[in-house]
Amino acid sequence: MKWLARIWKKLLTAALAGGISLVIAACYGTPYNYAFVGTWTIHVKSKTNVPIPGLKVSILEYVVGYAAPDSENVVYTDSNGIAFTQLETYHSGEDYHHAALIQDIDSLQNGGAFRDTLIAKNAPDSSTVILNPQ
Amino acid sequence: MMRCVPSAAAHAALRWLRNADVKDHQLLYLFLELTRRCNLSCRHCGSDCTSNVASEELTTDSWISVISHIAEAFSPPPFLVLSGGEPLMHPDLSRILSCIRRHGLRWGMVSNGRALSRPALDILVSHGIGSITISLDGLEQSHNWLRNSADAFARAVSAIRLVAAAALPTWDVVTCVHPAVLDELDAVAEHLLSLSVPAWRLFRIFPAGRARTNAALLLDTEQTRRMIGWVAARRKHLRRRGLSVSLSCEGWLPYATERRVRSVASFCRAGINIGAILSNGTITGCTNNAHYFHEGNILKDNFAWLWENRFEKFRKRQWVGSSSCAPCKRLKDCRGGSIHLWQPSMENPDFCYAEVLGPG
Repeated sequence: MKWLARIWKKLLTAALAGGISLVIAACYGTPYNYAFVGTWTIHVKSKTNVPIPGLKVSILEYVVGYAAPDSENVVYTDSNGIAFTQLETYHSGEDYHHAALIQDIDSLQNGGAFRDTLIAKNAPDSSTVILNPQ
Repeated sequence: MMRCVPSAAAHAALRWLRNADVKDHQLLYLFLELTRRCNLSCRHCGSDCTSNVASEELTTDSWISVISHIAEAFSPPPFLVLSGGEPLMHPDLSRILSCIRRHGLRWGMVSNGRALSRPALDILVSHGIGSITISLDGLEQSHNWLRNSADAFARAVSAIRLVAAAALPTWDVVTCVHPAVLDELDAVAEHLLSLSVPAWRLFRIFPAGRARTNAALLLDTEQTRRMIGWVAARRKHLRRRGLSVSLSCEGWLPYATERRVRSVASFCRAGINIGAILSNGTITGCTNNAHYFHEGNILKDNFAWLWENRFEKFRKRQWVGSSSCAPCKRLKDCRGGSIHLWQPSMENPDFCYAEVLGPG
């Protein structure tokens, strides 16, 4: 139950601080947001190797053994087909994971209509995804 | 969110948090003092750093072993903070960074900015730096005086411009506030805004290292009250303009003051969530702690074992009960405040923030 106590601690600390940022900045140290666990850069391309802009990328955090993801952060691919996000968590321990649901929300404006695609984060901080047409 | 919680309830919640953190003592943040070598010779240096290193320092191979041990022994691993001295002066920094990167550890750095050129920053970024702090101790004259160098200010500002352009996930500027800087805080804030600095921490120089013998550097009680008051008065206004200002983590403050000057209700996390390995291998809870708080040496002790089984002076703080703090009504909340203020004597802290805010 250590992980549960850690979640409560983070939530209470955040509440007392008036925000969700949980930062340690020791004297003569540098700030570290310990709810922040890394970054994820997702490069999205078509089968013809063309970057796809304007895609909705929902970053999901889930814990193994639970059906529904319990946090969601939305970013969009830029003109180079790149979506970048910082990953935050209220879970301490080893069992949380991140996934991204990539959705084409603008029909043909970004060069085509592409299938919804779900990917898991298994590389350290960067993933490349090839989308299939609908 | 809960800015309006009654003070007594907030203090009770903070005590619960602190006790839970002490019990859990998850290592979140680990200083690696890579070297005491420095390219400046600042008047206030708490570590007595110079361009030459008198005492023996850990070798690069030793640091690589330390980093591998940390990566294997802690899950999740702590955030590593490379400090010094000036960490950019370490002759084998790239090798150390490659090791950190290979283990997938998150890390940051504290620098005076003097050696932070574009190529140097590119190396840090390519090795995944997550956070950097640059020191800027006032306007040009004040900064150069404290840093003992005619071009220190220009070099620090140049480094800040480079970091601002690099769009790192987290970074800030720190200022060691000495009496001459008190009157220029507004001007420094404007300068930092012009440089697109997102966050600024203010320190009171504490009497360690060279600062111990230079009383002119230290803020007295009234000056410290002015510094805290300045942060409290300007914080909201500067926040709206894009600069998050806060007091450093030093010193316990009542919640009513705390919430006006810091983003996170703080207590001294040294030895609870923060550890340090000094350049000679000393294991302790933070940098600049007195010898009494040294727990071992990485050359002969297992850090993970020490972290789990020792550090009682940081976590239980029984020594406070026999100090001058014992009769203070604030002791149950303050518990002696910041560990680094307890030197050289264990009878009195060097500075008491409760005194700044009136009798307990």
